[in-house]
Amino acid sequence: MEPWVVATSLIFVYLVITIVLGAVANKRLTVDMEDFLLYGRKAGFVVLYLTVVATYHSAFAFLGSGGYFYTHGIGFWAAGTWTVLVGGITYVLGSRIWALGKAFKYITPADMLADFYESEAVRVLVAIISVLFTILYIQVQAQGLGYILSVASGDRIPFWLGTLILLVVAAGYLMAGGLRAVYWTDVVQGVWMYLAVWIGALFLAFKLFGGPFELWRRVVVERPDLLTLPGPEGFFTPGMWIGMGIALSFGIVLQPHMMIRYYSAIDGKTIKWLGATTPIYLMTLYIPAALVGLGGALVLPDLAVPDRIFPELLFQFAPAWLTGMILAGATAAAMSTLDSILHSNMTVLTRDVYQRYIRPESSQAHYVWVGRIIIIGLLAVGYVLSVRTFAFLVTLVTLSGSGALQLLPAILGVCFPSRRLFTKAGVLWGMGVGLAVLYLTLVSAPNPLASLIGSPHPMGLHGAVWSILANFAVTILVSRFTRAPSHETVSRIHGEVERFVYGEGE
Amino acid sequence: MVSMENVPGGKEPGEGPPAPSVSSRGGGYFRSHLVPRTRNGWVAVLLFLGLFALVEPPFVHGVANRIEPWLLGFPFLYTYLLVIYVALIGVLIWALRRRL
Repeated sequence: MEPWVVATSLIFVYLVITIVLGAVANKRLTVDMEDFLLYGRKAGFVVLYLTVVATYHSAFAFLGSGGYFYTHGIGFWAAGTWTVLVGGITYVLGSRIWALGKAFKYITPADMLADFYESEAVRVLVAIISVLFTILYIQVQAQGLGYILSVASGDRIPFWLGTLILLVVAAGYLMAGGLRAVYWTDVVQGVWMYLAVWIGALFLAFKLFGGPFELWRRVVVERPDLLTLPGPEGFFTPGMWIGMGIALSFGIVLQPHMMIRYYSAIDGKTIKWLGATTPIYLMTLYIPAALVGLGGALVLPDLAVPDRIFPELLFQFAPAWLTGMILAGATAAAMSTLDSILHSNMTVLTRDVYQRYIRPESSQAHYVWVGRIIIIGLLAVGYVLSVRTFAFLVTLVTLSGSGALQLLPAILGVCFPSRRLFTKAGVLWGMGVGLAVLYLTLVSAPNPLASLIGSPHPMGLHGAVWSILANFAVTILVSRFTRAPSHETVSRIHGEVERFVYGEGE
Repeated sequence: MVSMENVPGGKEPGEGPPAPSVSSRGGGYFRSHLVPRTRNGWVAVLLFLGLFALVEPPFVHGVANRIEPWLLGFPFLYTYLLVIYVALIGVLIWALRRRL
């Protein structure tokens, strides 16, 4: 049997498994928004663990990380800092978000922030940030999926068709089973992608170099420039190291598809277990990625697109069945992020827009069906964004990684009682200024200040750092002179945090 | 800096539910959560932040930015970072076991 037939067949076997899981999840679904949108707040440790790690690691972790090691060397091992930080944030902040969600029935990030700051403007701005800065990930993941299927089939399945097939499958099981279907498929995806990366990398290391240790020794001899900072192209400067750490930890955790996972846990202890143990999976996934990228730099040094190093090595040096299994793992990595973003955007649009402003008093069944219709709309938008090129997308993609980071001061104000309260005006101005600074420091054109301040990344410091510093400064300053949330609201919400952390607990 | 403390270890035996303790114009109504309240809480926060500082500039771009000596079969910087990442995860697990 030809290699492309084996590789493509294994990907389709994987897709059939996800469809079956979606159908089974549909049988368990009750007509209830919390069940459809939040898994009924009953997600246990194993399911939540695998959905969090599978969602965090996208197609980028599978394909892009190898490309980063290939191009910039050991500097990408900085990934360990942000994955460990994700654990710490989940432990400290995620458990508080869970407690507030359970106590006050929050479903979206905007629910929590609008409640504390007593502001519909906060709800609208947070909903816009939630959707705008994550919808582009649909495009990124869908393009990754189309590319994987196209590569696996030797270009027999064109990019547009591969993207369409995989988007339809993801949307299909999401519509059928809601978040339960997403979680169950993420369990398969989380296990599959982890095994695939490790098995593929070790296979290549032994076949091409005689083992991982020999691979490292060869890198020292042939490409020592890959083993120190800031790397061959000078990318991993101190400012980039710090900035990427902040953007890819806080910036990802505060995106709605990750925050919604905190709400869905069965108890606070589960969230703390997640915080303490998810870095093990998240960080160790980059160990085989380093073998792929660094080994690839020795074996295939002139690759035009570094992100293709893993599939290129597999097609040249691995048997067809292994290549197929690993590309199915890459598909899993992309789909697990794609379905979660589709779900979170659907949740925000259903809850924060439709239920709040269009039909506030409808039945639970009505909202579930509206959610399904919204998924079809998101599917169409995601597909068009994936196969067409729009100039404005380039700008938005540049900003998207740090967009959700702008929610940080507002969320800290809710989850961490302190002597000084943040106010509605403070967080609105803070988010507004933070987004403006993000634009000015990350986008080089069109940007009237680009040449003046040296965008992108003025003074070698990542734009995410500039934006969050400005956001905090403005939030604190404006909050000093504007009206705080009412005593009743602060007492109710901070009182719940106090009880959870220092009082009766769960 | 944020507190890593949590129930039930942070509460003294016999303490009732916490009552609002501060009330002023624009002020909070509960004791700040930005600093730990127990010894174990301080230990966890300081250990985590201290170790985290070792994988950030200037340490990582300075003293740790070298290939030699090899550790455990890998270049120095790689192993240095790996060991501290594992230690950071160890702090989180320690905090979990201490019910912080």
